[in-house]
Amino acid sequence: MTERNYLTEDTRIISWLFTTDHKRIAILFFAAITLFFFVGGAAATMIRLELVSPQGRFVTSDVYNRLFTIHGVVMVWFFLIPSIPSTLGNFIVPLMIGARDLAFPRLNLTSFYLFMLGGCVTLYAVFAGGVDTGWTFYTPFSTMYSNGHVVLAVVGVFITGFSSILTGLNFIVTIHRLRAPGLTWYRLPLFLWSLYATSVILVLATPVLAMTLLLVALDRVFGVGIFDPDRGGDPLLFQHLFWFYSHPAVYIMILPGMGVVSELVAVFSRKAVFGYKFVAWSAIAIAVVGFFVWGHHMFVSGQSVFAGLVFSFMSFIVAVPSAIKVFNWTATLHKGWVRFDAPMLYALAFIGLFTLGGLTGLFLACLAYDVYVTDTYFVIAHFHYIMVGGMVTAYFGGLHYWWPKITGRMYPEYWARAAAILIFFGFNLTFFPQFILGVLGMPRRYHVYPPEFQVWHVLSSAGASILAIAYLLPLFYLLWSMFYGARAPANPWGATGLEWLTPSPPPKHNFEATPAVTRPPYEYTLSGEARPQNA
Amino acid sequence: MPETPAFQFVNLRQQHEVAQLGMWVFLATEVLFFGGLILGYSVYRFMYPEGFAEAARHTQIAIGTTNTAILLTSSFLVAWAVSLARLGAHRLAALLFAAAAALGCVFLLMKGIEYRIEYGEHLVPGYFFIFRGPNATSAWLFFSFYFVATGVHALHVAIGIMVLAVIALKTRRGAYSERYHAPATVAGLYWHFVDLVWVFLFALIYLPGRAS
Amino acid sequence: MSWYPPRALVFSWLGLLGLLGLTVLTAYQPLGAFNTPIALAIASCKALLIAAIFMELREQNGLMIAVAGAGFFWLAIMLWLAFSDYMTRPSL
Repeated sequence: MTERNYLTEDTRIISWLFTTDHKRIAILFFAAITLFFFVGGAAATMIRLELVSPQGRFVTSDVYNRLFTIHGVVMVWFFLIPSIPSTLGNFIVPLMIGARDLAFPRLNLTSFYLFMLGGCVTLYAVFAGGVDTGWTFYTPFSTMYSNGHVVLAVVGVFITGFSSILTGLNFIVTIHRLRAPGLTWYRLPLFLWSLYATSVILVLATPVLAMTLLLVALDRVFGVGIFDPDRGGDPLLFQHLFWFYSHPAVYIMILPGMGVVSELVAVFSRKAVFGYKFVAWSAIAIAVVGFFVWGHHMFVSGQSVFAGLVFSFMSFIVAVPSAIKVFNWTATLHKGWVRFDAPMLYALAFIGLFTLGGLTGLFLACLAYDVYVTDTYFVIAHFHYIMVGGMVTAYFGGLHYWWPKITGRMYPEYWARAAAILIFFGFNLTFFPQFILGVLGMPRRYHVYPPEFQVWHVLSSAGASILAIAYLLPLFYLLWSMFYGARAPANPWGATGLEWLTPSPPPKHNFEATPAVTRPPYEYTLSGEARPQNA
Repeated sequence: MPETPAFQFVNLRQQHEVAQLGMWVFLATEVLFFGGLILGYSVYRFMYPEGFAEAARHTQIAIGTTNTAILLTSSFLVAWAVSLARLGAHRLAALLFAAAAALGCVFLLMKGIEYRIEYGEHLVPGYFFIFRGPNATSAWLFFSFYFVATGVHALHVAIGIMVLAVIALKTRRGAYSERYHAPATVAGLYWHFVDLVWVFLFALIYLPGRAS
Repeated sequence: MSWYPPRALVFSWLGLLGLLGLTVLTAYQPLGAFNTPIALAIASCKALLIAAIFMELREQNGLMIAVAGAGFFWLAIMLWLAFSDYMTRPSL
């Protein structure tokens, strides 16, 4: 490549380590979360291997506790939460609003190093022997009885929490104040509405987690006893504090994916998203109402029935904006000029799998039903349908969609479609049997179970092995494409959006001249031509 | 003195607005950070009203009140200093920033003395705690919150002192003016917020149970 | 260029000190269940003074005020919904 872009600008390692360029920081995050994805995936592999047989064959119960804890901790905080915001978000947000960088580039780099520091501390906790409390760190087990490395793990997550807060802060300020002239709120692509909603949650919820984890660490180190029943403490206080963050956290994880799907559905049907304003405001509604529902994780914990009623009702309400999105995406497809490129396959998979996961959430919101299936594999299947079937799928969709812009190369389309289909198949084989297991009564976090459940576990583990291969495929062909893929033009998909105005890959400061925006997003002519947002 | 805005900004005014907005967003996160403690405190006070009232009577209200007055005054000085820095009155502004930082140090000193007194009275949960009477359990909880809340707050004060010291030095060198004063404004916002948190902590820690 | 502090700042400072004295005095009055709400109300007044005058919120646009209020609003939600549990628990 002879032309200058953000990759070729300065190739010394030191320039990468001290970069404040949002695009390079995005690449750094890509590498980091890929690493953590494989750490969490390794734990998942061992879990699924262990669950093939009803007796505890490969690992002891104690080790099994550490496996599912590490799987949860790593996947939630070191993969899912940073995934789209810190990678695709960091890369695309300034480009999509016509800015040269985020509002606070140095804070962005700080966010990356905080993430790595927290990650290293947590990885150290893993290799030092792990934690056995579950990713939820419930007290008083975590504060008083666990003999795992609770303090280390909690400190690692605490540090990484500040990485999330800084990213959210950066996005909020950037989207408010750095938009190109003419880019009003209702001309923003829906990806940005979703990231804005995500950032509001990041900024308001994560600090509560920070304080909660600090209290757990203090409890453990100094025996302060805030959550200790013997000292008059209430273990439920921990759960209130923890889930006040952790429920909105699941919206942190899914909203960016929804934003990506909005983009993909528009481009690959050559149509504007149906009901743009509804989809935009539904993201805000999810972010706000998502703070009112945390007690649905505590229906059987000892919380009052009245509170359970309130939280159950709110949990039904919060499903409405998500449903609005699904209806509107589907309506976008209707009479659209649909192309089944790999990103679209992922978007379609998202719509189906997220719907299934979301509907089972309604089952769980129902107090009476939740009493029956709580802490069973039904819950596990529910959130994996949303997190993996939804979020990870959307992440891959976005990754493939913006890959040409990020790397300047096209990925091999047929390999990508094959991987997408294999992921879909492997995913369903892994997790659908888990719904059945849950209803049959298989508890979560157990590795020894009655033999009549084995057939479902075997199916699930078979699916997991397919899924593992399917997830490895993109690693190989995407890496391959970075060196041998066809060179990408500025706008390979013929999409609207300011990010497609720059060359692929973009130059260091994104735009020679700030574009002036005159049109809403997703304007396509009847013959499928894109009308870009500037003149 | 920077004449031009950073490359991602169009002009200095945008840079200033962005800096302020960024600090306010950060302060919102701090409200929720302390808010976790407030929830815990509120729950236990609701569960053990007499216990908390009795425990609160053992706090050093004289020191607490003096410390509140100190922080309020330091906030006043910082607000004054920021307005002077904008007018270009470097030397007086720098002096006021430094004075505010010094008051912050006095706050921490008095806090340390207070902790020493509480240690002497055996009121440090997890370390040295003896409390006679039926409310020992809730007193333990009260003082747990007391030490965590004031400790985390003191950490914020310490950071604020360092920030104010840096701002004082830069103001002395004439870094700020009508055109460019974002760092001073933003540092002021942080310091005022630390004061604001203390105002609530004071009401929750020192005042309960005084009427009996 | 005057070296006097702006009047608003001085009055705010004096007002804050006055409120501090008031809150300490009322804490010693036996007002029963009213002691706590009064103390919190006075603290809120102080907070509003600090926010509006010292932190210059009264001169800011709606976005800043919304951001400033957002933290407190969300804290209120956390307290409200958590207390919907604690206040309705059956007593043992």
